Amino acid sequence: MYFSEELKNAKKYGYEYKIKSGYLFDKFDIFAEFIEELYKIKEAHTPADSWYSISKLLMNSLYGRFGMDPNFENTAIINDSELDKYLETFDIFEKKYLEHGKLLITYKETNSRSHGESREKAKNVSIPIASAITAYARIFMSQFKNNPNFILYYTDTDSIYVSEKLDDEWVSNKLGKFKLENIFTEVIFLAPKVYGGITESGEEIVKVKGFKTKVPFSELEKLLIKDSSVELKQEK
Amino acid sequence: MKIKGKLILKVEDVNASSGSFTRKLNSSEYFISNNKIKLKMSTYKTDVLRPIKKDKKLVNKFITLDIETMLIDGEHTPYCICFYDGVEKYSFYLSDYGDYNEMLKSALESMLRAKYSGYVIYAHNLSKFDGIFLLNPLVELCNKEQLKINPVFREDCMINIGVNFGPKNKYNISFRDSYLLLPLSLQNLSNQFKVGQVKTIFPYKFLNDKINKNIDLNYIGTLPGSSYFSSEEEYSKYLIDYSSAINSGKRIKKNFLSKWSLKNETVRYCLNDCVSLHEVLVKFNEFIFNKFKLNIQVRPTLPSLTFAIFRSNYLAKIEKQGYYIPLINGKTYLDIKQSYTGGSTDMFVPTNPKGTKTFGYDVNSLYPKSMGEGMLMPVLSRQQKYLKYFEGDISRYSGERFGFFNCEVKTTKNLMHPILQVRHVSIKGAKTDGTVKNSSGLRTISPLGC
Repeated sequence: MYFSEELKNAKKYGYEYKIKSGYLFDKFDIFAEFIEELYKIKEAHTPADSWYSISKLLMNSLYGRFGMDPNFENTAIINDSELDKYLETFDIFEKKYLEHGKLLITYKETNSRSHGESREKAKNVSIPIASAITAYARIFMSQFKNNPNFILYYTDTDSIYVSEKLDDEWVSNKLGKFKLENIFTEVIFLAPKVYGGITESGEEIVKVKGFKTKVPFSELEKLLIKDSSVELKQEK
Repeated sequence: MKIKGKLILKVEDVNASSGSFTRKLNSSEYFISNNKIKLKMSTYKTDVLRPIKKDKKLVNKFITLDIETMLIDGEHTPYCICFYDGVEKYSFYLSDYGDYNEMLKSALESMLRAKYSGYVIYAHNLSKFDGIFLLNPLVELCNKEQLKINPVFREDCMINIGVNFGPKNKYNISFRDSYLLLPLSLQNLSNQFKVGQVKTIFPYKFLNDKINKNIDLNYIGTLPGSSYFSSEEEYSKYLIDYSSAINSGKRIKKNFLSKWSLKNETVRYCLNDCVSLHEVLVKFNEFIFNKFKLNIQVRPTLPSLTFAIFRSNYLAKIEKQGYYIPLINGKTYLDIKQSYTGGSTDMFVPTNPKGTKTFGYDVNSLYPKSMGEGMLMPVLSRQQKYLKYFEGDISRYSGERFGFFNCEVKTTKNLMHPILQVRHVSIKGAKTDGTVKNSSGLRTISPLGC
């Protein structure tokens, strides 16, 4: 299932699709004022100021709240002997053994598979909103994915590594514009979230997913050779 | 169709012309052409998200709590717990108790007091770490006194532990993790909120039984050497901090370097963190209250706080303009969830040719941008009060086609980088002819024609 606007965007790039079924909505930019006010606060403060982080965190945390599973997890402290009863009725996700024969469990009911009203009160969630927001983000980034003006080496959710400087119209400190983070003389992209480079000023920047210890750029270089491997160690 | 005079089925045919017509039946419409149903459209009612009221009064009923641990057999074991209620400071130290559960119980009993009813007790990073320490002593207290514990955990994260206590359980306090509200380190927070500095340097290795075989919790003696610190530099910094703390305002104490007390220093550090966190939370609460007229007290996480801000400060205006956010659950949730994927991360070219430059750019606030002005969200309205679900040929429908669609996608061969992602369980879903069938799963792929 896709958001209609993402399909329309894909069509521009040559995708074809045949719609089989779906859900229809009306449309409105309900968050315009919320974002405008919070972005103003962010712009008015430096990154060292608490308001800068607060406004940023508040803006970025909203869509995920809309995308929550309406079937919330429940938590209970139960006696060991009650576990079987819970296992019959619910999906149990986590259990932790406490002392005195007690157990902490988180559990869920199974999602209903039918349309329309459910017997329970509806939860305050709306996944179409969350899905539309992440789709708009991908639509925005798609403009830089098949651009004949430069080579795209690597992209992450909100970043691009390209062979040319972007046109000035794309670059500023305004909402939704690009910020030039680094200019590299050498770069290596091995996999999603595994990359690194040497900047013009000679600084090494290396990112390895799940790894906090600094990894030297030379280690990444070794991995460009077929069948090579590098072992990295990290203290916990 | 009527049974015993009662209407049970109403069928209405409209637009009948040369074999094509629309049949209305209950809440569904059928677009029929040449005796075949081309499109079935059903509408169904959903609840909508409602605005909430702003708070009238600022409430700063916070206690901050911190637990210090030592490493015994590689396991974190609490040896000191402190809390601060904005006025008084309290500390509990393991050597004064039989075991750490006794120590924690004693601390909890000092918090389960009528005067703290309605208070929220915050600890930074409680959910990943300290939360579970508190549950056992609470369960034990539960057996002794008539307590009621209401824990809320989500994805292994402690969101809230509510405790009712006192006569007829009329008092209540809640334990929370302030990190879920302000996901930054305490050090970062104290810098940004410009409150008293947190202390990060401590001879932690002195409390690791692999390094210090016989940990004496009542140790008073020579200040632990630099080998108990993570670096020489940290040792020097600690020395300066310790000297100024112990000699503050008075003349320099005799032999203070050989009268270093593990207990005093631990309590000093632990309380210092409690006070810093308290100041941060009071400032944060005042910020939020002054700007949005909301207290942080009833919102345990940042998403729940920002959601409350939206509902109390903006949603009513959106309703006035005639737009509503439908609450989506059940099958509709499961269907639309398939379209809910994150950003794409891809490596296309492993390295740059020698002598060329590579430019790394980040978007300023990509998600806020994707929510802001002109970003049209799927909602209901005065014009479209109900959610519509259709099956069949949507081109028969004259209204706007905005929403979420199940479709067969044909990828293109002339594209360098794919742009459509699908959730998938395994690569098997991708067929060799380039069509991709939707399936549910966790990973996403972006196939291209092959």
